[in-house]
Amino acid sequence: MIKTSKMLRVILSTILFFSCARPLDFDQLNQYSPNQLVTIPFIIFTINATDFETPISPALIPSIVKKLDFKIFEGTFLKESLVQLEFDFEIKNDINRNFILEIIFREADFDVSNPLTDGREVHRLTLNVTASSQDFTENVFITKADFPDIINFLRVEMKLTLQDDTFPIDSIDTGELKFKSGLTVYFKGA
Amino acid sequence: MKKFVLIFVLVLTGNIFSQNKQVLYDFAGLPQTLLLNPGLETNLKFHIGLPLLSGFSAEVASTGFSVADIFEVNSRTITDRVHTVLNSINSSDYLKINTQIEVFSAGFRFDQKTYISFGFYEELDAIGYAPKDILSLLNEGNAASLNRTFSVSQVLFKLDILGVVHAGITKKVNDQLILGGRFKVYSSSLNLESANNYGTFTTNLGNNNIYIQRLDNININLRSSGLVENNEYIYDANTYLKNTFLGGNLGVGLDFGLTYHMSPQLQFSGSIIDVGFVNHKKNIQNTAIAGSFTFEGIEFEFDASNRNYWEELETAFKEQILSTENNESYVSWRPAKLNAAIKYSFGEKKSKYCYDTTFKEFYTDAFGAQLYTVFRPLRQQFAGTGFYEKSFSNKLHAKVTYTVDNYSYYNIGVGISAQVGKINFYGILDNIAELSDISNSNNISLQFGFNLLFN
Repeated sequence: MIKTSKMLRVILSTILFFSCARPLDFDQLNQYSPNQLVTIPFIIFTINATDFETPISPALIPSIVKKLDFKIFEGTFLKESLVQLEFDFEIKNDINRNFILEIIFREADFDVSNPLTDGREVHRLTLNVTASSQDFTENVFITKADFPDIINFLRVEMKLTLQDDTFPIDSIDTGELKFKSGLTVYFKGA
Repeated sequence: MKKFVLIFVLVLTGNIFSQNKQVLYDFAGLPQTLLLNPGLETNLKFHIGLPLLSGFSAEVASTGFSVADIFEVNSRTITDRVHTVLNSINSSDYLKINTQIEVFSAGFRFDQKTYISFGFYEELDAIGYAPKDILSLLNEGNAASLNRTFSVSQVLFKLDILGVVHAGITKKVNDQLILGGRFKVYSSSLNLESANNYGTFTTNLGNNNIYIQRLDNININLRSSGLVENNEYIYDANTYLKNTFLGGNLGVGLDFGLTYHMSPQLQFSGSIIDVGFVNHKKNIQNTAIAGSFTFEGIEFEFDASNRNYWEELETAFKEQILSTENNESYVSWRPAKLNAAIKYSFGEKKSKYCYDTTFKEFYTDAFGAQLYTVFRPLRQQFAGTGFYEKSFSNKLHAKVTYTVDNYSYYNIGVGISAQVGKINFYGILDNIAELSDISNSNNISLQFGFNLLFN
């Protein structure tokens, strides 16, 4: 058996010895770094003016908050590969009031059983939405180089606030605010 | 070293399928030619193949790109080169590897008209087509491809590792006609295959949100046998090797062949081999993924509840894209191959000693044409060969072939068979025009072996 395998090696080596190959470098695989741009739909919502009223009495609710677990960056690989986040926002505001929309990126998971436990804030975007704005668009880039903490976000919190909460929403303030968003994640191979 | 790495990488990452052995076919009366056509004429009393060395063949082939296209050293980055390759290939391009090692082989003349041959060989046999859409999606993402339809139907591969016990008979019916047949028992130690997949992934501009993503009519099937045992992957190489010795999933197959002498100088031969299947029953792990899913983003509801939107999304996805596993047995067909050849002999007339203590006349030269086709998962593939064969003596033979196939229009192969005493050696090298730069070649193939031949 040993003789057989030796003979096999000799024959294969001879053939390979007499053949040629242009210089190849398989170590180049370590330098392989594709640029991946992944686009996904993000958050949407429609909010009515009446949502700023309590059901019991028309008392003003100054702001509305919603939270979302966002577990895409749980894995180390994606955290390391992330280069940049690009957000596209489109807002149509039929309500004749100015709003401030804050998008807060937090570190900790959202705890359904205990919504008061907020994780550490790693980044915040603020959008000022003017009254009756029909074509609000915003394109925001968050790069890891400028904001290295962004890779730690696992939860998104959206807080919509009346810019001037001294005047409660009343029956004159009808209409709705529609929010659309998309996210493009830039990855680069390690 | 790089050449070894090249071959090693291709063997490991490639997908293998059956090999065209156009030089070996009907060459020098070698017993190994009976595996390509059991109806070919031999002049042997008996033969014994040197264990593990009587028949070794290997082929690595690809269409659409070569190793040098990716790993060549030049001013371009490997990322650019991969990008270029991905743009140039199409979903019918493939990567294949085939290796076959005869563990033992022997044969004997049963009577004046009948030769019996038998043996056992190991085979690694696979093919994988380029799932261009999936590779592009993984490499570049979807952002630059809004409205592009990424299809999963391009996922198509098959990998087999198996042992084959075989016994064949070659019968001279009359002076014109020789018929042959071979019965095979396959023992598969590993089978991985995925076929008949369909479904698409698209990202479009949406109405309700900026983007909308759709997984439409997804149906992906992955079948495996021999890979998982008791819910654990088998990592022990010895287990795979052991299962090729009738310990794996069994199947049967048949070869048929004939030779017809139209005149003393003109002959036709043809064969169909590996008409058979393996019935996979043991260590089965099949996965099926099916369904459709549309995603327009996570929609917040401004009510009093504290919904876990992410969990709801995961649940909805799992409900609509069902992933199921089962252990159901399945049948995997072997890749059947067809050979046909026409051969005209001429030149000096010589005689050689025959098994029946007579002398047989033969011509020193021959030329002809061969056709080879193999039934592949996507479509049949063909190779056409012209050849010239020269016998320098009744112990020394050579053959030169010119083949046109999927990989090349100038594939030149050479083979030599020499006998010293009772020991025969044959060596065959294909695509020698590419030997000066095998890294740039789409096809590398070689065969060699040692036999003890008794006339």
